Amino acid sequence: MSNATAVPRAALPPDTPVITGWSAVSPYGIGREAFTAGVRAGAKTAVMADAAYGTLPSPEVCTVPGFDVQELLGKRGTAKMDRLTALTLVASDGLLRDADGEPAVTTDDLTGVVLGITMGSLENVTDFLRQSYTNERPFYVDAGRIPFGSLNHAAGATAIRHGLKGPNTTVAGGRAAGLLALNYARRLLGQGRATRYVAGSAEEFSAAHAWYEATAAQPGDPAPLLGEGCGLFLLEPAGTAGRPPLAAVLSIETRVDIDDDPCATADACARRALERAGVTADDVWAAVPSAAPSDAGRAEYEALAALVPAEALRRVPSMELLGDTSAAAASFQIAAVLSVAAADPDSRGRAALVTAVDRDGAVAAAVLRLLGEDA
Amino acid sequence: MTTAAPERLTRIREIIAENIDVDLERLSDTALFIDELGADSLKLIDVLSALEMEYSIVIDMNELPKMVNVEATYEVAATAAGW
Repeated sequence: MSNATAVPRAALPPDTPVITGWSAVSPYGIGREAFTAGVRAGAKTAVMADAAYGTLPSPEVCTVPGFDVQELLGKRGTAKMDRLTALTLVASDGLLRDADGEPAVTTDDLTGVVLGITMGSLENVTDFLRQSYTNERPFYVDAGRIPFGSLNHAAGATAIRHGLKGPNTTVAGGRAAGLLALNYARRLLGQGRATRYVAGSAEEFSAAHAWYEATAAQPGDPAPLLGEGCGLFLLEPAGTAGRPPLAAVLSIETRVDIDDDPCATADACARRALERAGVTADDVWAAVPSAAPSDAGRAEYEALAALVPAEALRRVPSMELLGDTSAAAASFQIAAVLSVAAADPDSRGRAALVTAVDRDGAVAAAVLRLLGEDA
Repeated sequence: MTTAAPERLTRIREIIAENIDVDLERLSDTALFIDELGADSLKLIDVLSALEMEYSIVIDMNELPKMVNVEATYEVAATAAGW
């Protein structure tokens, strides 16, 4: 194993996108500290589902503990808010505001938002449709919930809450969504379309989501243990970053598994990402697969196990601990590697490989250079 | 009809408060939704559709501009329902 020497920040080309902040609302709790502590402890998060969800295909869930929307966001405007938007707004507060609720990050008219999702708030959409089908007339529906049913509501609400006037985008990409969103932000930063980005991904747990996932599971697989949450990052070019970078985003590659061979596709995608980053597989300090409970997820693990050193795959606890967090997964994987790296000075200057696979064929891989949390 | 009116008014107040996002205590019968309580036309459509669902009635969209406060909204619902 070669020990890569730490890359001084000054050595980064000024247009390299760097992560300068992150925040997570996760089954470990609300905020970055709760996430970091949970990941470092390798703690499980599965609990018996709240009875309010009604009958579920699997009794255990990995929901965000203590997530009371009105308590966290106030009563105004939240009565009909979908959970996905609420999770995203609370995560955005953690990223952009300090403990007193004051802005903690300088933003301007070119600060963009990109959020990765699966299908938005499935609960909101299914409840609305159910009303239309079952009520006395098809138009007897709760009109107040319509805005929350649009796919891009969470990203839009985040921009409005924080006054972010740059490009605002929602990327629907299932388990690859977090990396697709980061790639989108990286590209627009590179083109000068934005000066900094709030980028990440989110998924909500609901009964509708649970039944959907149970129905979509492969025959023979049990109903998956599902998680939820939102992970957000502040991404800026290294040359103009307002805060010390935690990691540089060296490359992001995407593929579609058209040959029904997720292992080969994940392998090709990860190899290409490493090649573009100028990193050899042996130099990978930590590799974090999505741990999706599907053939694609198992194939992804196999591909990484054959590619990177064994200790790299053990460095970060398995994402299984959070349940299948679907669109939020890849953002949690990055947050997890940052959490582990911050506690290990040996990580500084080393590379991390984060991969994602979706059962619909989307595959993505990102290579980060870990830069430490020095002031 | 007259005996049910106070209960209906109470329920309509609740529906309005929920849909225009104000506390019930602040919602007097004459306070103007848009000018005094910060509502917008989108929220008034929410009120209209919630009233339709609650009372199984149909309110013409042209009635929307008349729904300026609790009193006037009650009248619009009463006309549509034939109370």
